Amino acid sequence: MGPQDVLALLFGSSLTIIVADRLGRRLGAARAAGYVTVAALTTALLMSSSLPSGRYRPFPATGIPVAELRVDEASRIFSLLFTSLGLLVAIYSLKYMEGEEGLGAYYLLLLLMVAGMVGVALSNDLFTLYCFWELMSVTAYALVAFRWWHWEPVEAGLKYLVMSTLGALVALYAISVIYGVAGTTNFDELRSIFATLGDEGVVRLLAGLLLFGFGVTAAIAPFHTWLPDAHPAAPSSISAMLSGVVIKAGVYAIARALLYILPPTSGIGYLLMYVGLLTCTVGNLAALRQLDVKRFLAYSSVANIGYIMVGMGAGYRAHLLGLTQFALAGVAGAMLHVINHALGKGLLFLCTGSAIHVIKSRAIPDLEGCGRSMRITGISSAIGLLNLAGIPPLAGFWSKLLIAYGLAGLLWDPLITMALIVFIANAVLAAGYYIYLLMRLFRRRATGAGEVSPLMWGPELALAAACLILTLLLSHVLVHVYTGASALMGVVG
Amino acid sequence: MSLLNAYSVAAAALIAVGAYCVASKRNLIKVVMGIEIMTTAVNLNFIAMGLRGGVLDPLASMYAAVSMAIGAAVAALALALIVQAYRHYGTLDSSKMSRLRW
Repeated sequence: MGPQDVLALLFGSSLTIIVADRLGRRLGAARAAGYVTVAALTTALLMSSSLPSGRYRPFPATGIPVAELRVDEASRIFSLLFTSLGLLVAIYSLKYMEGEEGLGAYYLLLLLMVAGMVGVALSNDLFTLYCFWELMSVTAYALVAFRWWHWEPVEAGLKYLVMSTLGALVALYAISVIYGVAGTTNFDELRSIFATLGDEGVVRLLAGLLLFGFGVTAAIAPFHTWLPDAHPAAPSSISAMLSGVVIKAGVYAIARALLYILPPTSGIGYLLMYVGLLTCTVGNLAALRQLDVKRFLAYSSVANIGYIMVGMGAGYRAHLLGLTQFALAGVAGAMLHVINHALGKGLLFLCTGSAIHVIKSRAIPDLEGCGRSMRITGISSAIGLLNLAGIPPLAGFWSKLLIAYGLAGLLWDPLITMALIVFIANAVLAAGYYIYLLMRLFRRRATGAGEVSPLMWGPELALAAACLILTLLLSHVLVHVYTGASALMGVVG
Repeated sequence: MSLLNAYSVAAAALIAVGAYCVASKRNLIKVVMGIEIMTTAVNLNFIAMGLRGGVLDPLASMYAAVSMAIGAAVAALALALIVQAYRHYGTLDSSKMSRLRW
């Protein structure tokens, strides 16, 4: 069984959803499409958890040298993250989206979006990656604008579409130049060709284009402006997907292109690091003045992407200088933070979705006290907030510490000392506002806000448990994350 | 370098035209036209990059064909959203629908 079977399953079940939706509506079972989605994602999760590492040619008989797929520790971690969050969101949607129009289309788009993200993580070819990337992006635009009868989703979706498509086209242009230079788009062949190319100017140009191209979807500053509009406008379940995993697919594409394909070149490490610092500073400062809880969480997602980019930049710089220990720490810290933020922010968007479902308002003052009256949602969101704040025993602390450790290895460089100071200041600021939000949610008893249905708190509780399990099994997780980081950079750690 | 032929220069120029169009135009239809120009430019660049000694690598034409199909999907969705935006606002001017600050 290979990665092509996982993708075939996801695409095949998307056809089944159309049939299930039609039949279900005729027979009065409105949730039929949802159940098919949950079943498909459960199977995909089970299949992708046991994929053996290696390279796979899905169409060996045709002799077409493209569409190669790969499985290594990094792509396995990312695809597991994508399918598991997709599954929990699908379960949550069963109740949350109940009674909405066009549910068949909703589940179809959700499943195709997960298929696109899994494809991005599993492809071993830049053009294949681009095809899956567009599948993921187009379905994401459509899902943001899912409630098209309101003005906000349409405008936010349009803004997201224009900005992200512009980025994707720049990335595709870079891919075409790479194809021109090397004559292939296969990751491993490109890696060996670029290692012997010896033309730093071309590598810098390509790295810049790819960073911009994939970075728009990953919401790096100053191209993050679509995100705080798109996340609040989308249904909360889709906000959880966008913030939890879609922007992480952008991070994966940047990491794969810059760390694996292109050879280490001076200057790019600083670029990544300082773009990351700018992103987290902008995100944190903008989050402080938000009164809309979903906008608040969206800006904090921007900030967290910044931390991840700082970790990657530190790893890149250390790798260039031959300091493998710190290079692995930086990139592994970034990957651990990807996992932490995907679980934590997915959890928080699902929790606020439940609270908004009951209270019918997105303003933080209206949500005060709902942490007390909605017990399970409240406790789950508390765990998520503490995890993202980086309160020591939780995993969110260790990922930031690993990134700081990667930076600390290069401390003799004044530019990096400055970066470390800004990074720590940002982490402290973020911890402050997460705790502040937590206190407001629990301050006084809200009236009449009861707990939501088990189909909605179940996924929340599962994600909160996942945050705790990640902390308890940290030593095992770190082994996988370190293996993933060395696979992503192609070094033996 | 052999990569710099008339086609790849034209493609780079078209990319610049398209990016300018997306960045500066207020009319949403013109923004979509800018995106389409950029898609065409990238396709042209794939063909330019696939020319090796006067012979076209079949891989390059396949890339361009697949990219056209993807571009069509994006354009269709963009136009569908623009129709909805026009119904809400009665205008195609993006500066007049800036309730979310473009």
